[in-house]
Amino acid sequence: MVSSLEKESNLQGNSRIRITGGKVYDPANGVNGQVQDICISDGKIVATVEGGRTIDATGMVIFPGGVDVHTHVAGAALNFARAMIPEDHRRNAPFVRTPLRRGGIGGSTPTTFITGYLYAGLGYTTVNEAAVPILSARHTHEELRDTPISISLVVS
Amino acid sequence: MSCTLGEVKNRADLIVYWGGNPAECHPRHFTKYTLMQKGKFIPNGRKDRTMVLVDIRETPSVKAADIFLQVRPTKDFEVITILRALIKGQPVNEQIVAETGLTMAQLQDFADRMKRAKFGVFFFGMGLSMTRGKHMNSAALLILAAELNAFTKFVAMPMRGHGNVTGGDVIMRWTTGYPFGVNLARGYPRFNPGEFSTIDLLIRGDCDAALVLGADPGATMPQPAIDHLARIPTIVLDPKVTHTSRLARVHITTAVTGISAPGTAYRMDEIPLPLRPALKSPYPTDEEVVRRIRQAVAAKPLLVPPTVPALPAV
Repeated sequence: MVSSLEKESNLQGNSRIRITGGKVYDPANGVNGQVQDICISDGKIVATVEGGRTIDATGMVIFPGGVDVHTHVAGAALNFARAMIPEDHRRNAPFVRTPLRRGGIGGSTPTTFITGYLYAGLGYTTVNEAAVPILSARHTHEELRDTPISISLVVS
Repeated sequence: MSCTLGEVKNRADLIVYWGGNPAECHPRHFTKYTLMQKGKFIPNGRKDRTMVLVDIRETPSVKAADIFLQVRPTKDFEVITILRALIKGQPVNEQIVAETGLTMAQLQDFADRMKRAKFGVFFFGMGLSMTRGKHMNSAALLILAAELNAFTKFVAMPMRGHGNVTGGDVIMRWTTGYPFGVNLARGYPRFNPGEFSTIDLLIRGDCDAALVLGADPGATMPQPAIDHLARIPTIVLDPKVTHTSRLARVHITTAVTGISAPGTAYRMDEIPLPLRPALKSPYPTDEEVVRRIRQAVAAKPLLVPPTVPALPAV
């Protein structure tokens, strides 16, 4: 499943981005907290770019997208739970619609788009839905299509 | 507490329909799931099952039932409460029993059957959930089902209406967190049945336009709600001319989902079923019409200017 971020970068085609001033952690390449620029061209990390957009990440951490190997963020059981706890939805601060984001509900059973935003806010790019009964797998797939983050399934 | 219709077919030996007329409203329910089918633990099919019908009047469903309990109108809540007492062996006031239109012997027999059953199901219809007491009646029946689980396995399931109403519920839940009665006017979902549900909005005259999809409110809603639909620009998407399209400003004919348009329908137990079209239709699908309306609306300027600036162009 393609995340919305990937879709966006594909749409932008030859986009060039330079992220400056952030502390970079990349265990695979032995980078341990060094402050350095990260350059992206055509959706790939490259040594350097000319022009494009610059994002100031001073005081922030830059690391590869997180992978949650076992989670429950979609499916019939979760959707049943959503119906059971309107008071929880009401208690938690809502997510107001903006030109870039959809409105929704947070709390213990967030709506699909908010699930994607919350994960992305923590730096996750891939999560693994770990319980999908075959009988309602079609339902789970349709929820995941509405969740803007890369998700794979484990069918139980 | 609920289950799938497959579990009912394979396990249920006591089927209770409460405030509904499945013989006419859900004509395949008996034959596909609840009565006629043989199941894994119901080897003899109909002979292994007992069907109880609770309703205020005799309907064609009575013929299918082993036991028919005719409750006096608006006394469902009292009957459920008496049954809750009887299954726990608590004393019951004869006077209150007399008011329900049923005898003590009938109620005691029903309570005993429920406790004796290996797997019981309540299917409740609008005769319970939409008459006096409304959601309190449904809640009482759900509590009775929960309490019966101290003795045996018991579940309760609503008899959903025509069309893909369960699918509408399911999708509203994953997009807004709530099944119905949702208001998005503030930019986030708010839920308040009785305030934001369709009939209430229409009767108060809060809305100044209506889009009707896969429903015929002109045939089912109270007259003041229908009157308001006729006053405002109402747009109907339907394969056929309905009562609502007669009073609507615009009727867009669409392809019949499941016959000439693909998609997913949700069964009343929330199992998603794929629909594969058998025929081609000259008309667009509901989805296509809604998408084109959305594109046209998106091209218009926003009513309220955005508070958050869009990302600068790359």
